Amino acid sequence: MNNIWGSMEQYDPVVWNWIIAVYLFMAGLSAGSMLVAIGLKWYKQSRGLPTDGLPVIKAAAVIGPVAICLGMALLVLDLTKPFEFYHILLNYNLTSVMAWGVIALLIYIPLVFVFAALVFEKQVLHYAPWLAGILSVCRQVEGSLNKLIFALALGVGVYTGFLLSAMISYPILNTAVLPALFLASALSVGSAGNILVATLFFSKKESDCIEQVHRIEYPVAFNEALCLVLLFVGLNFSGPAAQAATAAITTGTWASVFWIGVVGLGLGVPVLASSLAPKAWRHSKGFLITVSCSTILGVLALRHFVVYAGQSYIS
Amino acid sequence: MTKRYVLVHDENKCIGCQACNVACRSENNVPESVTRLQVRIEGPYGNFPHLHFKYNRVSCEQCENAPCVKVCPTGAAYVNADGIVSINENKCVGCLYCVAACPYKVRFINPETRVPDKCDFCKETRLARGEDPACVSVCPTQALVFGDANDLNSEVRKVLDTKPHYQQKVNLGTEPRVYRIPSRKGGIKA
Amino acid sequence: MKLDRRTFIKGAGAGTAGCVFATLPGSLAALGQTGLSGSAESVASICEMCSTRCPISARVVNGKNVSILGNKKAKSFGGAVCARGGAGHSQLYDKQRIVKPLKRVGERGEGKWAEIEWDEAYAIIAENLNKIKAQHGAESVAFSSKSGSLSGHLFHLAKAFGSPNTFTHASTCPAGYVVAAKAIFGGKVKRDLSNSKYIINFGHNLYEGINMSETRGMMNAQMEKGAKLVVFEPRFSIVADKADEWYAIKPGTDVAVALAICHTLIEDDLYDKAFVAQYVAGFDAFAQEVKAYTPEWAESVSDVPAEDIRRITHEYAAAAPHAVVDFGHRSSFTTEEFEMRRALYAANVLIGNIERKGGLYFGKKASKYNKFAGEKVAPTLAKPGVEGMPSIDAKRIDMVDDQYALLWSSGGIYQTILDATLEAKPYQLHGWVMSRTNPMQTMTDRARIVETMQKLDFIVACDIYISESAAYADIFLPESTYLERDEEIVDKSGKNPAYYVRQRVVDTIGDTKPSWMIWKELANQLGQGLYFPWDNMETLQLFQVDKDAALLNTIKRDGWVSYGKPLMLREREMVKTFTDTYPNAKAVDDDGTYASQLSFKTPSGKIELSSDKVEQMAPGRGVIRYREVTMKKADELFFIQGKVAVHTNAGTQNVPMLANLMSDNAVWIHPITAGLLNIANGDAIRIYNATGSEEGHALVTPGIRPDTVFAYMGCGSKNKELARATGKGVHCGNLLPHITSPVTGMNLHTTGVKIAKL
Repeated sequence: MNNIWGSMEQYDPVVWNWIIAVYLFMAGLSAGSMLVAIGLKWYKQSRGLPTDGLPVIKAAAVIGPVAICLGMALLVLDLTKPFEFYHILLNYNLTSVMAWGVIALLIYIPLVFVFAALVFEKQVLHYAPWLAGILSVCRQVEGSLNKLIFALALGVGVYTGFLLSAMISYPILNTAVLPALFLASALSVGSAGNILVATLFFSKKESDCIEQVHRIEYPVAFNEALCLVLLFVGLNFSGPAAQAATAAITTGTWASVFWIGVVGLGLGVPVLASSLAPKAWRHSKGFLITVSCSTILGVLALRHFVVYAGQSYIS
Repeated sequence: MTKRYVLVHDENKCIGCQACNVACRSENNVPESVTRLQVRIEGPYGNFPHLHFKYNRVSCEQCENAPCVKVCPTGAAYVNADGIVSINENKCVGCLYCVAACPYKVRFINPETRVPDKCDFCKETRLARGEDPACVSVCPTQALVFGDANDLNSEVRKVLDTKPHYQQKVNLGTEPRVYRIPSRKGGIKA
Repeated sequence: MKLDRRTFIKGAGAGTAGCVFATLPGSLAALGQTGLSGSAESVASICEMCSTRCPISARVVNGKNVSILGNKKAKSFGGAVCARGGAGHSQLYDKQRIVKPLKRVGERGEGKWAEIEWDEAYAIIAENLNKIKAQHGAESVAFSSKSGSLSGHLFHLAKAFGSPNTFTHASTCPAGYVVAAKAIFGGKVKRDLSNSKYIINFGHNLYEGINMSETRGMMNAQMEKGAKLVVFEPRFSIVADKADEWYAIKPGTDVAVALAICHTLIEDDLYDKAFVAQYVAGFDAFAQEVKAYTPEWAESVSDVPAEDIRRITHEYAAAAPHAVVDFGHRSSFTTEEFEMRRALYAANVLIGNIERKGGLYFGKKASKYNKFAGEKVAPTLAKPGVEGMPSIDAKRIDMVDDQYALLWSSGGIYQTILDATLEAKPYQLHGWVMSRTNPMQTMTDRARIVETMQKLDFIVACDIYISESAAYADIFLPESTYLERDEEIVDKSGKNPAYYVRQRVVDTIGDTKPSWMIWKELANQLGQGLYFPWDNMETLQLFQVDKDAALLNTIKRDGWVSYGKPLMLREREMVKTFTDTYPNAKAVDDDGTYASQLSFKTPSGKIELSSDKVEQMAPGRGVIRYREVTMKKADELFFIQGKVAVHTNAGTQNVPMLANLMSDNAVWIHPITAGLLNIANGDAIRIYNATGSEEGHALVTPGIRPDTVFAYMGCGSKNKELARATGKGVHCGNLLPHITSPVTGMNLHTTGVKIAKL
């Protein structure tokens, strides 16, 4: 039958676009870098090692606030009514994952700035000496603050996954593995991001902390791969969603993005590089930059793949 | 007792003529580039000459358990006391979460108001005046029945009690308030 | 109430391609800002989005939006309108609508126009028409109009001017069933589908070509009353989908199945002998002829299985007399249209369903109804006659052959304008005044119409848009839309008398006029003003109701008034209710009906299954007979067309709301055929034959016979003024050959085509 009912354009199942994908990426990057930095701090402290001035922590103090702010800016700009976004801060519908995300981010964002201010206390006080009082108070509760930030960062990482998985009609999205996948990938992009920034800006010489972070990339990549396998194997056994899942990774542009970007750049390159590259390379700047960029691109690809392919298949 | 407005679309009586589509646009001043209501004539299915069309009304399903309402961060999407899924334009920031979350893909951004729009059973226009929704009033073949399913004597209740019907995507647990009487050629015998 | 026109247009949705035409001379867009006041309350009126003319209720809501619904006072219409009716205001406020008279400044059809004032337009027209009249005689100007509310005013002008050559769209649309009904019954009959228990339908697609009361009636019969519907149609249309049985009949062979039904009714002794004896003339000759038309023979011709024809006929007879074979509407499936329609009527006559519930009946206008009631139940309408009209000696151009005599007074053979212009048959035409008609689309052989319009000395077109045909006019006169017009009261009697009226809903937009006023003012300019003695429409309305202002006001207020109880002369219950209501009613027959009062305006006063009159007009056609026709070459596919629910033929493709619903007509091709031609769904294709060639898209669907292709008609306009329609889809008229069917004068709408992938 001819179409006599008008345009079908508005019924495109892909509602959220690349802006949301980049936002999800940025939120993951911020949360992941904080998790890695605080984790590293605790690791060092447990061994009684100094934590001040560690390049990775400095990197996280930059990435944490910058990434989440860029992400939030994109998110607000993507609203159809960006100038009325304050309504989302005034009204909370607690059945909505997004409302919980707003609450988490409302606390998380200022705390990340506090974290950064404490890391760069000298520089901050140089420009804003009037903050000295507040910062010294913060310094006193730094331990608790870090625990809180760690918890909130976990929350933010997981929330970006729940945000998508709460949409019941998209089989690829509507699964409990998605938050875990997003958290795992947040960790890998967080560590990669930290390595990249630390290597580029804060490392005078080879730093052992970079090496330590680099070492966790392995298990993190494994986790991410495991989540992906669980996601698609699980979907394949779930009846109606099976076709969608199979199609998503076998046909169309997004299948290429998946295999080249997510699997190739995000998992293959870092894992192969870590295991096969000659020892001599492993601590070179170029090596670290290449591998971490590859991971970052892989996670960016993952967010795009999930957002687009996930929305393309509607039950 | 509270009202529970429901709509029944009889796919046997529906001829897919789009009178509802046009009447809805006029009564609710829906901008040209978007639509609250389409009836898609899908098919023909089957093998020649044993064919049949499916007359698929595409409009807000007025879910009892509405995913759009659940995901809305500000509560701009809400279920009114009469059961009609409604939108508080002032609270809305336009995050599109409801549009993305709707399993029926019937929410859209109104290009003039910049907030989500959809069928509201004409509650602002005709229902307020005590009239049936435009699509119901205008339907040439009386394929639509609208009313309060909580009223045991309503026509809509009688139809639901006496005719086989189904709802779309019940597996998602949305409990739509739009019911459909399947075409007798669609494989389900009346 | 003041309305901002701009917000209005925005609301009504006039954006599509609007910018292209922002400066088209004379368009609403070129007019700039104007004030507009709308009626605050609902106004009852009559729709004009198609020729069914449903009663509507139109209003301005919230000072912003005209919405149009049906008038609930008209019960059988149930307050419903179709998509087209509901989109009336979209046409009203369309920026591309022409609201200023235009003069052609380029070549014909070139699309160059200049705005002029009405006075200048009238002066140019009068000068040219009077010049033609002086040189070649008044008869060398043809006047044509879509038959409708105001066509009478144009034809009155023609008569005042002195030309007998007036044409409606009849021979492109309804003439087949009208002429056949004249031959058999002496006049038009109506269908009582809503009470029918068994309906046999030969491609009368009432669920797409919506005729509101009939569409509703048939659905009601099917769904609420359990009527069975059998459909014979080459395409799986909506009506085929809704049928209990669908047979994909070979195009153009409907007459064979109809004759086989008649054969079975007679041979299996299923027909109503008493009815035939009392009311029918020419039965024996008919029975003799149909002896040969066995179901087995029909199967060999039509692909409909003989056993099904036989079974359906038995089921049909079992439901008699509350059963009907729908005699259809538009078509000229073949050149044997006349025989086909007569065969369909015959299948009704044989079961005696005339004036029975669920069968066929005659309209009961006031005068007839009052006579039966013995009192003035319903007022009658007066018809204004004008005395001293000039006598016209010239013959009509379609009076070349007596076989078409039945059509001369029912619209004429429209396409003879082409023969008269191009070949001077029977004499040369020099001018054409057309109103609300678009022969480029609705006639056949578009190229020949272009040639005709290029050759004529002078052409006037009156319309709402510059249609494909109006694009070739010298002067374009913008008519007000129906929502801005007042018109005469219309008789809409069915089983009982009823009247309704069209009245203005909003103030006139721009510089448009209702065509009754245009033709009156033009008559003044032509020097024939004396033949238009009325001042305005109200004068005419008051004349109709014999100055009964109260009655006029009632009709205007309610929009629809009906009188009395439904009456079918051979239905005992109805007659009893009727006589109980009216004590002075005519005496009933012994069986409690008015059966003996049933009469027919044929020469014999009976139903003429075979007709001497027809035999004299068209030798060999007195008795209904099957004749083989060839409509395509062996290597071609049948090309058939039909109606879609969201457009009226070729009239609404530029209405914004409707253009948004559908602006293209992809060509239906069966998967087997498509496979052989290596065509996939959505592929660009060429569809061509000796008449023309069109480009379009393929819709590969099992809902069509493999030997046939189908397209909804009306798309593919070729003039640039119709911005939303131009170049979209296949222009059907460009593929149909110029052939006139015997007796009915219909042009032919089935032909052969070839398809190629582009």
